[in-house]
Amino acid sequence: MRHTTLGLVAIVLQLLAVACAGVRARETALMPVMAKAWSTVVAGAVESGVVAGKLPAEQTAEQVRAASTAMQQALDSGDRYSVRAVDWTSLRQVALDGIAARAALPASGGGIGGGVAMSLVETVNEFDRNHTKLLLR
Amino acid sequence: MKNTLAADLGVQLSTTANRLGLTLQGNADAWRAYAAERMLHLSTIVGEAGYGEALQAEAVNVAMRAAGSAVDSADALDREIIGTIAGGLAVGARALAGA
Repeated sequence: MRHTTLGLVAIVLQLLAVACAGVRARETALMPVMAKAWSTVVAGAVESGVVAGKLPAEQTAEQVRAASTAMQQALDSGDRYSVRAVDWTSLRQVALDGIAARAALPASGGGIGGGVAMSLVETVNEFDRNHTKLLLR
Repeated sequence: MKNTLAADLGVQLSTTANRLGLTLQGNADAWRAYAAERMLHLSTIVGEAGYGEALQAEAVNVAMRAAGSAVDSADALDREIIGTIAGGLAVGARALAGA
């Protein structure tokens, strides 16, 4: 019986060793892609929001920029707990407002077309979905 | 008793693998459909101001969807493994109780 118990324990330990695939996928697949999305699209949208004066209540432009930098650093670090510490909800709204502000500008003034704005908004929304997924476990 | 335990676990693992295969296939299909949808969108906005930005954005959109699907698949694998462990422990507990 002792051998059977040990065998069962060994099987369970082997299974537990691979039962953290979700955490690994978040850290090795999701976070690097989110970091890329942040640096190529979302950070620029946040900056557009700051330039347009679309700031959250009781926050300065410097604070929003600091939060944006903190998000980039958190994603680059691969530490999910650092990502949790950044106020994504506020940054998300600034980014969406920034995209809308650019869509209202003429092309000569740095404006973007409506379809382009939709692509940028989709990035913010996809980032949001993955942000939730990232912090689930 | 050990052979019975191994056989029971083997059946559970086989069932898990079959179910996981279906999950992975489902995720891949959804991801491909999303990529096609985004490409279609790009094709309708050629020439708009900032089109280059849209190209970059859609590239990361598809990459994020693929990474998200990978996470979903990994979570499904974890759930199946935890279920198998629970099943294995139940089988083991019954075996030990009858020993």
